[in-house]
Amino acid sequence: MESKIASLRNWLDDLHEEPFDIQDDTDLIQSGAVTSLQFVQMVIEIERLHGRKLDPGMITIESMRTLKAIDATVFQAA
Amino acid sequence: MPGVATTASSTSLLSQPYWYRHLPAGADVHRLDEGLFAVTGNAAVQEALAHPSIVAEHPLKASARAFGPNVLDADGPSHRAFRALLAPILSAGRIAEYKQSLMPGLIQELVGSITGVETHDFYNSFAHRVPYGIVCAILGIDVSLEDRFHELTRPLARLLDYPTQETDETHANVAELLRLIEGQRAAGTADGQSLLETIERTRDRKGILLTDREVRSTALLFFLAGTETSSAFITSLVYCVGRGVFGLDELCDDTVRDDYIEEVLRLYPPVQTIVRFASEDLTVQGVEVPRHSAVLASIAGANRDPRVFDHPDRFQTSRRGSVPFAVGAHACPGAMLAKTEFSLLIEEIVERCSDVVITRDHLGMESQSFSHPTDFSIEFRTRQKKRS
Repeated sequence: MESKIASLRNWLDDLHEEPFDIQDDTDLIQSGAVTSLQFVQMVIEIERLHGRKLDPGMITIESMRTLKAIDATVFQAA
Repeated sequence: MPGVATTASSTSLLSQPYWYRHLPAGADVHRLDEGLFAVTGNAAVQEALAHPSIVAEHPLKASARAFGPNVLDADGPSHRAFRALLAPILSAGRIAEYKQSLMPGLIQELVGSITGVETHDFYNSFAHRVPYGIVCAILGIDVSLEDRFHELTRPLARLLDYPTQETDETHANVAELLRLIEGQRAAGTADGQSLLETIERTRDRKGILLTDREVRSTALLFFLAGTETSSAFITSLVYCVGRGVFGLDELCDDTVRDDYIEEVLRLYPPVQTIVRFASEDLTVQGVEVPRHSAVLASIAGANRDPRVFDHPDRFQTSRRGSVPFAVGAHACPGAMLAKTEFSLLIEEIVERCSDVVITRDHLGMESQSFSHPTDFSIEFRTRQKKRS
């Protein structure tokens, strides 16, 4: 089964018509991987993949900035 | 429920002026994409903006990331604390003082510089002068720094726009402006009357728990909102004067002038789109909006709702029901200050000009957050003095 972070990467890829290189440590906003509104929409996708509501304290700019940070803060967190 | 647009098309939709016109008629709440809703009708927009669970705060929002905690991006008690800090600066008494002592000189200088002139770029050459002069004075910024503030602030407007433009430059500009504001406060250029000093006194007197950083971010956003929205609207105002929907002499009357300004605000609200967020699962006009969704309230759509305004695209004064300064807890606190500024400006133009004429018009409109007509030329013809 595809990992949650791989699914999120696919969701991000689908935002672009042309291939967009998103590494684990790519800054999602600064690289243009997401627009400011898509950055907000991404929280809904993360919550859907996670399968439960995110603790409000998890939604910070640092914890959402890269795939690596999202994986550590949300998907791999106990 | 109307069809769902793709993400790419919602981005392209929102970059268009009057984007609400491209959505299906007969619905007020539109799901553009997963987690992205647009609200367009007058009643629906008012409901969304006053909804207790549709909030301004979102930690990932561009302005929150750029400015840190501030008045625009706070809700509840924290938001009320920020507003309490601004209240003394925007009180009726203070506005009367600005009207008497601050605004006339700035407005006379501006109108003196445009009278007898045809300009092809009113927005960039002239529209900012009065708002920047007023807000710099309120902030206690030395007059010699006005152009520097203008240069640094204008790109920041794109941070609050849709689609947002966020670059290294905008972040560097925020840091530089905060440094300049702090430098001016430290230099004491305003004899204790600057915005920051007034805010700090209010904070300490009322025991409001806000940090210095939050106070400075609020001062910067006050600066941005007070200058760029007014620069945009002044452009719309002179554009409408130039289109000649009213004779200049009619605008000598205070009441007629105020009605005129209200109608321009209805048709050309500088902030055309406001973004909010659903803090829980909720409904607007019966449409389900899941938590975390972005909710785009179209002020432009609300102000041209045909159920509230007959022939909504027609210029017709004395209408009621438009919401150019938004509604609810986040309604613009500077509305009275702005209207005073606009009325004095029109009064001075009427005094000094025989005619104001649009000499070229490509009917362009720009921006969602600081909207104004673009790509037009306007001529301010000099009124000949009467012979005695």
